Amino acid sequence: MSAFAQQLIYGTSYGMNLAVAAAGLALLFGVYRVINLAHGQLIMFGGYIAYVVTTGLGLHFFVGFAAAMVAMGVAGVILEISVFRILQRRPATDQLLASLGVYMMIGILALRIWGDFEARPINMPGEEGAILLGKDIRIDFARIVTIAITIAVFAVLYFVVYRTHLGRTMRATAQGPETATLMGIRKREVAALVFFIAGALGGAAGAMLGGLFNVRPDMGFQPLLMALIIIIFGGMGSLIGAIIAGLVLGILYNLTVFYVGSKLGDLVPFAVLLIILMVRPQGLFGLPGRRA
Amino acid sequence: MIESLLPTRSARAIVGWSIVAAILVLLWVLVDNNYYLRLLISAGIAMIGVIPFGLLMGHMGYMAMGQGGFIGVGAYVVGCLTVQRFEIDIWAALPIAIMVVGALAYAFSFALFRLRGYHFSIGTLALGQLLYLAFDSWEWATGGPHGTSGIPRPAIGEFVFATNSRFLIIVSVFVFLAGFTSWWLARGHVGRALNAIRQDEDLAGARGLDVLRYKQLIFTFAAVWAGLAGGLYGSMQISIDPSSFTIWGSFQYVIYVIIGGAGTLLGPVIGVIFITVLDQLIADVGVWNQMILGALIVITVLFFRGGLWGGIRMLWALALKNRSADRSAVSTQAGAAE
Repeated sequence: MSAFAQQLIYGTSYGMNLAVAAAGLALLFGVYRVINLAHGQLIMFGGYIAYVVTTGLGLHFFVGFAAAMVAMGVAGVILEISVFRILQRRPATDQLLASLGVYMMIGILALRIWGDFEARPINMPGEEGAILLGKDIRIDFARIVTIAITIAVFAVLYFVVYRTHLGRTMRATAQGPETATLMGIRKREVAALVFFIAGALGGAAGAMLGGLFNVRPDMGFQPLLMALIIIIFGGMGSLIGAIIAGLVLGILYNLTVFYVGSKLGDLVPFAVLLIILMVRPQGLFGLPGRRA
Repeated sequence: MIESLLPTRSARAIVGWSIVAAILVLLWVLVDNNYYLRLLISAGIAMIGVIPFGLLMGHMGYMAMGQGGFIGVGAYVVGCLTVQRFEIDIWAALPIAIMVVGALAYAFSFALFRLRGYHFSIGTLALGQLLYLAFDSWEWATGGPHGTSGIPRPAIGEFVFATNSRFLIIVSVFVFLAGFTSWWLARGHVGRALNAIRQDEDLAGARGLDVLRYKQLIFTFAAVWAGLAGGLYGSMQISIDPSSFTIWGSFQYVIYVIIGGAGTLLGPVIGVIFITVLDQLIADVGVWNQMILGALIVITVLFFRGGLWGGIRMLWALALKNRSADRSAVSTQAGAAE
């Protein structure tokens, strides 16, 4: 039972990291109707920036975390201006392809800067410390930190999207780009904003994943795949769906790895995806009429 | 000019395919450098998978990102049947591999074609990764992370296709067949159905086209050829392991099609040739070559939608237009003189 509780908490922290990564993708799709495969490399690069700031410069983890968010947000805006703005009215495959090209370029960039597949650690607050609950439930302090950070990130995100003027312009654009433009909303500004937030979320996920595990040049692929599955699971473009689906997937993954084995754990996301596609293709919070 | 020399469509087709066959034979006759032979074989195996995949991605507009998985299934079924668990002749193993891949693709197509656009791509991406995990973990059939080794080269009687030069014959035959079947599918009602699906699937369905059946047909068709390419790849490499069948392999197919030109039969072929040559040219820069490829993809998608073949055709059309413009100018002058 205690092992179960412990895995539950580990799964929650992993799932929340994934949810942060997926929320960026969900936001992009919801407002901008775009899927950005390069998001995976933003996650990876965010991890590296957090690594440079914390381990390299010796600053506090939160500084590195903030630096990763800002840098990846800016990277997102650069992507929007240089690539996605041109592809706005193109078919879906064009956007996927272009982002795949960007994915390859960023991946090689990181590989060249930081060398080969060497795992690099990030100093996180309270890495040694742990809280003992009851007899033998041991929770790393670092996990609690990531859970707390995630909750804070989602609180800020919720506030921005649902309680500010900027958020209202974003939601208006999501509902109807033409009408929003007629109402005096500048589409380009909204696009830049959305790409900034999505990139920042990717950077945040990268910093946390890098803190819990290690930073590697190929660390972006797994979260990207998981995030893609999560946004289908949660319903394309739905933020709340991304959060819930991320949690469910993270917990399921950890429980399977612990009780059945790591190889079967890797299969969990795909099993979930298949079942979702068969039973409810529009996802948990997707609208039935709008399945792609 | 071509129209006047070869008036009927079938005559032109026969001549065209004769030229293709002649090129393949000439390559086999002329190239005797072992390194270049190896390159030709690799490029040929890529073409076997990519030309039919071009129908799926280019003609039909469904970008599957999991072909690497089907390549792997083909390779591992051959590996499992010939050395890993059984000792069947490779000529028997190849058809079995094709059937297994076809059945697998057909079964998955029911789930995958509930999806469109992005969702389809992500679904196939997940399928490719799923198959990769299967290669990595099902040790009984695949040998796990260490893979399968000792896959034989095919033989007819005493004649073993052991050297690169001989193996190229088999690959060339299959390249020809892959191209021919794809062309044959694309020129008839299937090709028109694919175009209709790409342009407006709902409309095509409303007009009575059995959309799902065509989609499944093409998906299975592309998967079967990818599986055959995998089987030949295994036989060429002699030993295979899961690292050859990652998502990266699937991405490469997509890259071949988009760089060469989507929606045409020749586009994927040109893509394979171009990238094989490019790989040789930029081999010196080591890891950076992936960056160059990535940049090429972005530039192609952003500015050259038709890819290389589209560019060639555009130049050709321009040249023809200039010439006919000259001719019409001449004829009006002649008219004025009279």
